[in-house]
Amino acid sequence: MIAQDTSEAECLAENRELRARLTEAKQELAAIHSGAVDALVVPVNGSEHVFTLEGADHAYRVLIEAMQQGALIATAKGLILYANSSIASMLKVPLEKVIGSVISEWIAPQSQACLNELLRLGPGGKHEGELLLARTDGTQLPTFVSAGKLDLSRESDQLWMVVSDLSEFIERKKKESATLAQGLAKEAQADADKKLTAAARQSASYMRSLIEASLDPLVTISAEGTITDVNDASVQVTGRTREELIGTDFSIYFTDPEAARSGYKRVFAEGFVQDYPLSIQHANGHVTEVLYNASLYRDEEGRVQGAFAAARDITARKRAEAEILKLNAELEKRVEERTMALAASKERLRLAAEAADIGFWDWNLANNTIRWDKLMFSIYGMPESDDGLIHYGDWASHVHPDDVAQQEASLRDTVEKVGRNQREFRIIRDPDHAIRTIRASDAAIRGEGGKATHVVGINLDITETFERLEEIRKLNATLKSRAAELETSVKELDAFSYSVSHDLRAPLRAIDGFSRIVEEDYAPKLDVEGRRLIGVIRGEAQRMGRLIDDLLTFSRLGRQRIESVRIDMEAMARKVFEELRAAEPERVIQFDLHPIPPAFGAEAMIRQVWINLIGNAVKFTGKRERAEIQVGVEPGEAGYPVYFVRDNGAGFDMRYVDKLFGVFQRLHTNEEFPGTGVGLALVQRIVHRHGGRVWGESELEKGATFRFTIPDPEKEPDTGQQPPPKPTQ
Amino acid sequence: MNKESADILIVEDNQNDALLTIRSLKHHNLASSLIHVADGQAAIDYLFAKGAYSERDPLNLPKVVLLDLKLPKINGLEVLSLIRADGRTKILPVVILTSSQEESDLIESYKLGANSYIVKPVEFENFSKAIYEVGLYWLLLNKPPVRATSQ
Repeated sequence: MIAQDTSEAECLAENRELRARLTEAKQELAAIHSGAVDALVVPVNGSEHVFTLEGADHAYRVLIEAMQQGALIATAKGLILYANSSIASMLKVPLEKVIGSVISEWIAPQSQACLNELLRLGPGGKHEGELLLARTDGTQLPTFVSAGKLDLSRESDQLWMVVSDLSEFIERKKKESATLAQGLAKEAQADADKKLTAAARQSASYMRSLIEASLDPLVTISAEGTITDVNDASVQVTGRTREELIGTDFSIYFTDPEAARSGYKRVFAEGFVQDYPLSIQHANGHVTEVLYNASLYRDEEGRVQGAFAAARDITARKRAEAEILKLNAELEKRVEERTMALAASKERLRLAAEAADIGFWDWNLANNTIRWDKLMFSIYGMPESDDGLIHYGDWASHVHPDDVAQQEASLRDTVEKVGRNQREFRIIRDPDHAIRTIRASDAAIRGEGGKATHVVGINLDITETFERLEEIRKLNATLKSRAAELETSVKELDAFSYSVSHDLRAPLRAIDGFSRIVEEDYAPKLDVEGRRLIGVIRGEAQRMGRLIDDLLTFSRLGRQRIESVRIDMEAMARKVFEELRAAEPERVIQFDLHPIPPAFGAEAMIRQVWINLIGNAVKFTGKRERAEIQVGVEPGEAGYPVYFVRDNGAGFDMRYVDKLFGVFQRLHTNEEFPGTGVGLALVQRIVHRHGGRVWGESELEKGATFRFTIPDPEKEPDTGQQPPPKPTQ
Repeated sequence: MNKESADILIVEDNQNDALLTIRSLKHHNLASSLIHVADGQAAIDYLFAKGAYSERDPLNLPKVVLLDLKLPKINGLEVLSLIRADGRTKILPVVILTSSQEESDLIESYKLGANSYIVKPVEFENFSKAIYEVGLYWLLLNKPPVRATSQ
C-alpha cells in the first residue's frame, strides 16, 4: 500500500499521518467497543475512508462469515467482542445477542472448567479440546474448540475461538456403533460425550473390534424387544448367525422366554438390570447359564433408542459352585458320620468304663498337667476339681508309701520307652484312709519326633476282687483240710465198718452158736421154760446180726460211687415183686404194674429201693385178706416222672411222717411188723444220692403211698412223652 | 501134734468160731483129720514146715485151708499171697472163711488166688450148714492136686 517511489519526506509525512490515523482508529475502535460508534471515517491519502468493521477487513470478514465453524473474539474476561453467524446459529440465538455478552453464558456447566483454562491462556498460548455449548432452549451442543490469545495489543490480550459442531458427527457415529453408547458406564455419563469424541477421533471400527473381541455375548435390543445388533460371542452362544439373530425377538433364545421378556421390560421401565439370571439355549440344545447386565441408551435428545445387554457366562462358575456344594455336602456328611461314630464309640467306652468302675487319666507331658475323670476322683476318694486337673503330687501322695518308688519307676519306663505298662499298687483312700488295691494300665502316646507327649491310663479298684480272691483261697485251704479230715473219717469209718462186720458179728455168732449147743447137748436137763429162754437169746442175737448187716449196707451206700446206667424200671419192679412174692406163696396179693419209663442210676441201689418199698408194701399188707399193691408213675412237678408204690396195708399216722425215714425209726412194734427200721432210711439215702426226692403219705389202716424221683443227670427234665420200650430180657 | 499132717487146716484166731467150725465138721463126720492154728504165722509155719512145725513133711499138704482174714501177726490176705508165691503151695485150695462182707476183701482175696469166699452167717444153723457144705465139697467132692493126695 505504500508507494516505493515516494521521497523520504513524503514517507516521513505519511508515517506521521498513519500514526495519527492509528490513534484515531484506536479511538474509534474504543468507541466501537463501547458501542458508541459503528463506523469511522479515516482520512487516507488526502481522501477520507469510512472504516466500519464490516468494511475493515472485508475479505476476512466474508471468509469468516462463510465458515461453518463458529468464530469469536472475546476479551480476557470473556466479553464477546466479535462472533460470526455460525456461532449464533449454533447457539440458536440472533447474533446481536451473542456479541457483547459474556462467553460463559453459552458454555455448558460441564465445560466451564475448560473455558476457565482458555481464559487463563497466556499471550500466544493455544488450546484445543471439546467444549459443550449451552443453548437457550436448554439443549447442549458438543463442539470441538481451537482457541488462543491474540497479541495485538498490550492493553488487552484478546481471546479468539473457533468451534466446530460435532453433533452430526456424533449422530453418525451413534448410528454406526450404537453399542458404543451403551459401553459408556452410567456413572461416567457426564463425560460420555468426551469419550465419544475421543472415540470419534480415533476410529469407530476400533470400538467395534473391542465389542467383537468381547467374550461376553453383547446385544442391543429395541424397545419392542427386537434384536438390533449382536457381537460374535452372541453368535457363538446361540449357534445362529448374526443375520439370523438381528430382527428376531430377543426372548426366544432363552429356555425361559417369559423371564427374558420381563428382563428387558424391566430395563425399559427402570433403566437397567443387574445380574439378571437367564439361560441361553444354543441351536443344538446346549444351555448356557448367564447373568445379564443391561441398560438403556438414548440419542442426544434423550430419547430412548434401545437397550444394551451384556451377558456373562456363568456355566463354569455354576458348575464349580455345584461341585463345591456337593463336595461340601459330602464332606459334611462324612464329618457328621465320623463325629457320630466317634461320639458313639466314646459313649460306649465311657459306659463300659463306668460300668466297670474304671477311672481314666491323661497326663500331658508338654505342660505337665494331669486330668482325671469322675471315677478317678471317686476311686481316690478325692473331691472333684472343677477342671478335672490334679497335680502329680496329689496322686503320688495317695499311693501307699511302700509302693510309690516302684510305681514312679514304672511310669518313667512308660514315658522313656514310649511304651505301656500294667501295674498293681495300693493307695490310701482319702476319706476313710482305707488301703485299696488298684490295678492300673498305662500307655504313652507318641508325638511328632517320636517322643511321648501324653501318657493315658486307667485305674481299677480291685480291693474287693482281691479280698474275694483271698477269701476263696482261704476257703479252698479250709476245704482242702476238711477234705483231708473227711478222708480220714472215711478211713476210720471203713475201719469201723470192718470192725463191726468182723468183730461184732463173731460174738453174736458165738451167742447163737453156743445157745444152740446148749439146746442140743443139754436138752434133757432143760425144761420148757429153759428152752424158751434160750430161744429168746438166739432170736435176739440173730436180730442184732440183721441190724448190723443193715447198718453196714446203709453205711456203705454213702461211700459207694454211683455209676449211672439206663435201668428198665418196669422190669426191675416186676422182678423184685416176683422174688418177694415167692417167699410168701400162701398170700393173696393183687399186684398192678403200670407202664414205667426207664431211669438212669446205679442198678444195685435202685433195685434196693424197689426191694424196700415193694417189700414194705408186702409186709404191711400182711394182715389183709387180699393185699393190693400198685406200682406206676405220675407226672412230676419238675418234669421228672414220679414213681409210686401204693398199698392197702396198715399205713401210718401222718403225725409221725417226719420220722418215717430216720435210721432205726419204726412206727410199728416188732411184734406187729418185724423190721430193723433201716429200710426207708436206706431208700432215702439212695434217692438223695441220685439227686431225687422220696416222700410218703398215708392214713392209718387205709394203706400208704410212697413216691420217689430219680432225675437224669445228663438230661433236661422229661417232657412227659413215653420213651420207647426196652426189649425184654 | 507138731509132726501131724491133716486134711483140713483151719486158720482162725477166734476160739469160739474155731470151736463152732470144728463142731460143725465133726457133726458131719468131716473132722477126722484137721489142724487148727490161731494166727497167720502159725499157718505159714505149718504149711512150710517151719518153726514149731519144722519136723513136719512140707510135702504133706492139706486138702483145703479154711483161712480167716483178720488174724494176728500175719493177716489172712498176706498168708494167702505167701501160699500162692511158693511153688509148693501155689495150687493149694484155699477157702476164705470170714465175717467180713467188705467187697474190697472179697475182690482182693480172689485176686490173690482164693478158691472160695464164704461169709460166716451169724445164725448157727446157717453157719453149720455152710461149714458142712464147704467140707463136703473140698474133702469129698473135689479132686485135689496130685501132691496133696500123695499121702
